[in-house]
Amino acid sequence: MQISEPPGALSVATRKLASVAVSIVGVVIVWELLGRYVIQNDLIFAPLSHIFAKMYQMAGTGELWRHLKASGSAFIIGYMSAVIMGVGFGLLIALRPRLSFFMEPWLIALYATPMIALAPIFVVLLGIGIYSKIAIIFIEAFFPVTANAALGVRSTSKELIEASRSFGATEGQVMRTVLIPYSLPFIIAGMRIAVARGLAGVVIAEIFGSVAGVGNMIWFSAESYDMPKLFSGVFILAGTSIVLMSTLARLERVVAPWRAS
Amino acid sequence: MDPNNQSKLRLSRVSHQYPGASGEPLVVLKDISLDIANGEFVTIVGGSGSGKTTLLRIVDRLIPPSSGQVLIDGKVVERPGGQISFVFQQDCLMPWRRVLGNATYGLDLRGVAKSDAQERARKYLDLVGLSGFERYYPHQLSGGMRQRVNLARALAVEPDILLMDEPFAALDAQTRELMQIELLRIWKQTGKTILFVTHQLDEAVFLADRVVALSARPGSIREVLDIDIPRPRDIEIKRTTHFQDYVSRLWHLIEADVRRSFRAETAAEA
Repeated sequence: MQISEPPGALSVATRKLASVAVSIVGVVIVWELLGRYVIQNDLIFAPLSHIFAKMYQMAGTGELWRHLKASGSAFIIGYMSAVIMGVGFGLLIALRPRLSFFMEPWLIALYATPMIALAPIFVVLLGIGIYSKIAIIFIEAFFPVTANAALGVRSTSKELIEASRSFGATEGQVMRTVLIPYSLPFIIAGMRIAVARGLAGVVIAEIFGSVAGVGNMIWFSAESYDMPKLFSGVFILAGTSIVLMSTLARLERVVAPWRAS
Repeated sequence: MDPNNQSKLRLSRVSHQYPGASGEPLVVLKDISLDIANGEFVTIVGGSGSGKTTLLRIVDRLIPPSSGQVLIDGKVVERPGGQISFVFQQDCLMPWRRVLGNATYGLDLRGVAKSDAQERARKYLDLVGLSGFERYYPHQLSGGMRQRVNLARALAVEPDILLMDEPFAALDAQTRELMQIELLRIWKQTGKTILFVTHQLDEAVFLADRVVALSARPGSIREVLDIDIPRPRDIEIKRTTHFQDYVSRLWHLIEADVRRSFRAETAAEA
């Protein structure tokens, strides 16, 4: 006799998908009803329909693109340079322990200081505009990438390194064929943390000095109690973060298929 | 061995020591001299602390000996990756490379063109019985299959000498026996010179032309046993008294060392 699932039973994946769908639809309905009938005050809350109408309107006037461009360009430049330099620096301090001892106190100090306290310094130094934003985003994103790249190299299996050497690999070949591929999933995990921190950096940078940007939009609409606009900014940040993080999670499964199972 | 015939692999008074914690150097290997003929299968047994693995690493030049020399065809080995391939204890496969990519690894490092490397890797994957598994990742294979990939990777660079460090230790007993038979078949087909370290005495006897028994702390050669069992050998010979005599002779050679390290370990645990 063939063993099969009883009729009407759903597979685990389908059941998970169904739960997620129910959860999302449920919250959307509750939010909308809450905004329309319970908290009938657009100064402290807004139903989803008002928020999306606001986004649509802002897209029409071009205001939305102006903010997206201001924040997006700073984020892309700051984040990408943090990833590139973070990987390079992480590999360097993992391979040169002396250098890491030399740098460590400063890295820890900079990492430990809340960005909200440092941000005004950058705004004063670099002015209101894209440069101070890039600097703040860079510093937020740089550390998790550096720390994870160094961790990846340090935790690379000694046996794999020795196997590589036994085939006559040079130091450069060990780096390219063992250390870097082994560290890739660590680096990607660091990049995911860096997304969240970098986006927080966007908002922090734009409180202190900006003429446009999603963070700027959030702060100004908060001051003027424009809740639909404020939530629009929050949704844009949340949506960006979700898309980037799930893309990186997928990338991690591609470069490290052995870790998935 | 014909004395006029130059040996394939010669270990000449190889010694090795580590700087000890108390300032006194810790001698792991002492005056190991051994001549291995071309195509010979030599196994090394010894209790823990006999420096078996260190000896293989010295032969491969992964570490330099404190004194003494390793010569291949009369020439001193300067660096790893020449005519020697190392098959490690655990499978040291690259988890991000597929079976084929792992088998070409040594060739990739040596700059062999991709199509040539793949052709050679396929040939050796076929030899170890893994045709059809080229696209698999190591984590999708059993332990025995992974060790076959490990062997194919070592063979693909077409070395003269294979160093094997307890390659079947992590396998279950049945798989291990099958792998021993497979290894003998591959050895016969390729004519490699093999230096094989194991802690399993029956494995040492079954595979070898000669078994080298090491003493422990420091590791030095206690005795070299010629195994006079005709080839081809099959698993059945392990049940014969002739075979068992060799195993018990080996056991007597290393028993005192094994018991001493056992006592040391139980004392450490208490």
